[in-house]
Amino acid sequence: MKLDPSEVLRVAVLARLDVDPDEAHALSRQLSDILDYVAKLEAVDTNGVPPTANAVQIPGPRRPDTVRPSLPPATAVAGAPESEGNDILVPRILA
Amino acid sequence: MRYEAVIGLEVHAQLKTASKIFCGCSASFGAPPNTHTCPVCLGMPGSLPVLNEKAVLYAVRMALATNCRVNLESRFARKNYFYPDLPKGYQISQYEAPVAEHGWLDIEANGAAKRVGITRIHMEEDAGKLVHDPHRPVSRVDLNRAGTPLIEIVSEPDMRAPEEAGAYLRGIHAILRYLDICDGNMEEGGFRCDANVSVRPLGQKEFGVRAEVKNMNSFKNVERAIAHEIRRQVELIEDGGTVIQETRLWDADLGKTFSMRGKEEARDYRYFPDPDLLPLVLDPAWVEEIRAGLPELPQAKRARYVAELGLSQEDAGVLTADHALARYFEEALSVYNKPRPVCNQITGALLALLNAKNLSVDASPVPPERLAALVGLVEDGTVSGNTAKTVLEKMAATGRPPREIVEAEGLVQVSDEALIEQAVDEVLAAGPDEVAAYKGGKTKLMGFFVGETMRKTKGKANPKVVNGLLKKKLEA
Repeated sequence: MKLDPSEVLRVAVLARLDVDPDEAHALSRQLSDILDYVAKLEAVDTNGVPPTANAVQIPGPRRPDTVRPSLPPATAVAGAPESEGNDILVPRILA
Repeated sequence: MRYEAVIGLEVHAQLKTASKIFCGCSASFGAPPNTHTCPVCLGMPGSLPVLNEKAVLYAVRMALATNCRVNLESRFARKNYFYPDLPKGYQISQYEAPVAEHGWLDIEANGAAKRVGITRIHMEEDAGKLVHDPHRPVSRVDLNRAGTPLIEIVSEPDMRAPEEAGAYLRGIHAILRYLDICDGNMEEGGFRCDANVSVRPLGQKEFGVRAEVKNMNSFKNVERAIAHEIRRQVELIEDGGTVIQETRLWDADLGKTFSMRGKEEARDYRYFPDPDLLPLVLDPAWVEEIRAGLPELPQAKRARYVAELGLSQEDAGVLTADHALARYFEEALSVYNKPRPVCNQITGALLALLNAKNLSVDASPVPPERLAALVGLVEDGTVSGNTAKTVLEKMAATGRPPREIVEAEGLVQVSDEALIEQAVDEVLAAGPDEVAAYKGGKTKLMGFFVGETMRKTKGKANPKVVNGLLKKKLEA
């Protein structure tokens, strides 16, 4: 399965990765190899086998609807590149 | 050429849970920024989401109330995109296996009944909120809303007119309120709607290219925005242009939709099953228990009001469109069981009063049992229907019960024929010209005589008695 460099660049944009055109060529070869490797599974007959999304086959647990303490806001915003008071600041999104 | 519009709606309803969908942070609205966050809703590495049981219950309630098939096994998926209000870089939603599918809602619009299909209902988490700083080139991120529970209700493209979309939306809103699972506040964003709109030549089978219209924060605006978008697309096609698939924002002040360009449109969400969440598996017995516990829904209630209480379709529709109003009506009925006069007092004077004061029925200054007492006074002849309006206003202003107001202000209706006859005689004696004209065929003057008599009696005379006496004397 061939992934061409333009597709690599498109996926890089969606993932917010800064990939230059030279890298895109190398990555397209490497990613194509990975896809080829995974594509080997297509030789197996999977009719009637439900897709597996989790390693464990049990229903998901649920919790009661009770409120628990949240983090202090100073801690919550501490990891943000920029903050002011309780607010996380980001470059303006809309003009 | 004539065109037909094709409309589908996506409704997001915030569920009224105490905590968020995957963590124990409070889901309440209006707290100071970033005070309801934790490692799970901030998307910290190593944290794990655990599903809120009540959010599931609410989603299943809505599914059953809209005739959906509940999927006993559904799954959560990651919808990947980058935006500052989305801390994880993905939204947990449901994609190929939603909690419910294949429902419908019956609506009435433009004088016709119609069934609108519901494609699916899925559960998801909300994003945070961005506030754009008016003075500096920054946006402020508040993540209190990030991770609060939503259901998205997706309709089939079954609607053909803005009024149908409005009726569908009001129907969905009413059901959410009856089920008490969503506060339904459109302005605060607790109930939001996006519309997919396309047009096609009448008779053509294939759909036209659709635009998605966003940013409509009232029922009225949803209808206006869709009507405008239909017009825009038809004009564009007639001028030789083509509609492109895009997202458009409604501007209520300008009454127009605008193209929303840029990264918002780079729509490639790369959905995949969320490995942090195991399948949502429902016990069929639990689903049936929820079904059995559903309250009477708007359409059933409306039908019952017509069939059992003898109300008109229209009145029953007004009372049942708003759950709080229906509850008010039923509480008043439990005190004074005459459905029609109670209904009239509510849909007439009470709603006028509430509208004038811009109050919801829950905040009515006149409680239902007091309104029922007032209707009782009208029905037993103590006050006239006209005076009742004044009494209701005084009840609202003073908080006093109706009988007290009527007695203190001398508003008791006069039904004594002798007293009224005296006033009638005076009125007729004072207007010989009008009497002659009436006898000459100007029967419309009856209104004048009634008005004069009522004025003489300070509005207290029983209008039925006044009418009877005037007729007797003028037509003798």
